[in-house]
Amino acid sequence: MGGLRTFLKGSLWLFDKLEYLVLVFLFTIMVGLAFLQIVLRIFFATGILWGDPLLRHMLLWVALLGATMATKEGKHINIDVISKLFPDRGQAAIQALTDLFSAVICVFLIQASLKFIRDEFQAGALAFLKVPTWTVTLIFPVAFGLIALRFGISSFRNGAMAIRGSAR
Amino acid sequence: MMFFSSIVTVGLALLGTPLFIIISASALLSFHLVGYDSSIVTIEMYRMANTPMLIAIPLFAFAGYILAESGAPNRLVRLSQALLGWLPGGLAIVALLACTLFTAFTGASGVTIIALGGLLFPALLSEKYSEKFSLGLLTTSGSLGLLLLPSLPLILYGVVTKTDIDQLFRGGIVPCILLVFLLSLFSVYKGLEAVVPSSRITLREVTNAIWAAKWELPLPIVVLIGIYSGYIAISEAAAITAFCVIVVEVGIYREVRLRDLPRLMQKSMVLVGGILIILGAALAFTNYLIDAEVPMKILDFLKAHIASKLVFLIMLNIFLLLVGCMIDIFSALFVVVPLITPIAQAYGIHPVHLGIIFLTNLGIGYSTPPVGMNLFIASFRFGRPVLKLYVASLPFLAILLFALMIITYVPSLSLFLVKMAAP
Repeated sequence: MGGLRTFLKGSLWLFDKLEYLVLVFLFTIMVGLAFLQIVLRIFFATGILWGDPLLRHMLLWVALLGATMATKEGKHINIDVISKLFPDRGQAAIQALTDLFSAVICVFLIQASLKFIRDEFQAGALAFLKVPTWTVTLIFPVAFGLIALRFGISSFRNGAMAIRGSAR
Repeated sequence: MMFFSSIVTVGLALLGTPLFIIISASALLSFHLVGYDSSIVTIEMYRMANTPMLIAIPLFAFAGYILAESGAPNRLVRLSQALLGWLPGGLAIVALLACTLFTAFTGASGVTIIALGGLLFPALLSEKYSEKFSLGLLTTSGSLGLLLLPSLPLILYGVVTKTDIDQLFRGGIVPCILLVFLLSLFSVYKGLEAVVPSSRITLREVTNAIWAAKWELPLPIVVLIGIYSGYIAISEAAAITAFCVIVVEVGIYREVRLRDLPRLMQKSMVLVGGILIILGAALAFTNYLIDAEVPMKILDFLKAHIASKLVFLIMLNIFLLLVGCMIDIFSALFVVVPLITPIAQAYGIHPVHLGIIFLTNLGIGYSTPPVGMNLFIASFRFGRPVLKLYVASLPFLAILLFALMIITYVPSLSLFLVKMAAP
């Protein structure tokens, strides 16, 4: 039990780091490439042809990774008026419920994106250069998977808290 | 089935389920009920990667977070103070202008109150403005810049409605000036009433203040001229801004360290990701609603009951104020705008005018009790109870509502710059 727990914690830590590094890496390139494109256009009247579609797909990746991080930090935009009226234990129970619902919806979103990727794979469309669309859209199931996982963990924690009645 | 699930969804939303989940769930369920494959939801979300303008959002947001951590807010306040400090109510007007410009440049994410509040609040108090006035001023002016380039909601309105961004920018200028002007009048009145000492304008301080900001001042000027002249696109302006802000704040002023940048990237992308994932979900859901001709059905219903454009506008204002108090500006933008746009067009309302009405309305919603985001941010920043901020922002809300009425019922205010630029 203890070993499994350490393993799970370790993998989650690894996921977090990896996610952070990929985000910073992508965003740095995004800023550089976007600036390079405009310099090329204004001063040399040219540009990298695949630069713009690449940028747009990087935006998609950055946005989805940002969303998974927002899940980790509990910073998704929501309407939070009712739960504040409840005591801690009630709040934890409500949070467990909404997190569980969110995790379930994310599983459906994973399913939807896998079907989409299958269709794109069969169609063989290209996003830019020789990069097929299905590869760049793999971020959808990955991001929704991470989001579902985080909502699941949070739901579990809050559920336990509601049952135990205290934070520890 | 539809009715029952709608109630469950609304209930879950009110309990605090993230809005992107609520909207995704509605889209998945709606498409399922009409027999579409769920992959259509992803197809719609993937449209994010085919909207060139969207690249501007993370770049501006990132630049805004860097600016907020640098000394730029101090220099902005110092310069406005040097130029306007001599007016009665001068510091309050300085606060208004500084907040407006800063909000426009940081994309209306609540950063303004955090970045400028700590500076302006003690300054206002030391000049004998009442605490209530100062709190109300800083809370409400955090959303004044919404109508000015390059505010994120303005760009996103253009993305959602496919309205020409240049036209939106032109449309927002005069209404924004009106909002700032009316609040400035109120500040002058309060300044005279509190016998606030006014400083003298000296050439020396103006020169010094300009000199201190010499590396930052050219950027907004270049970007604004570039965009308004149509020479650079909004996404390019964002790229220039992000790049130059890094060079200036990290390289020249050295107020933000290079190793702070990854952290700021993460912070800003959490915000951007939270916004864009709602956009993705909303693209899918509104596609369903439009496919099901929901706007047309609402329109038929309205046409039967509301004959005049004026009554429609009044209803629209009331409706948007309610929406603004309930949900945040981005969700409202993504879900409500696509529904309202065709209806408003049928009533003969120009899309640019509609956008300005919409953003002014939702901007007011930022500071409207019970759930206006600015109220909570200000409460957190100034360490005052939210209830106190409700009361403090009331007179400002009254003025803003008055301005909203003018903006709504005098379309030419938003449109004459647009028409002037049109051939």
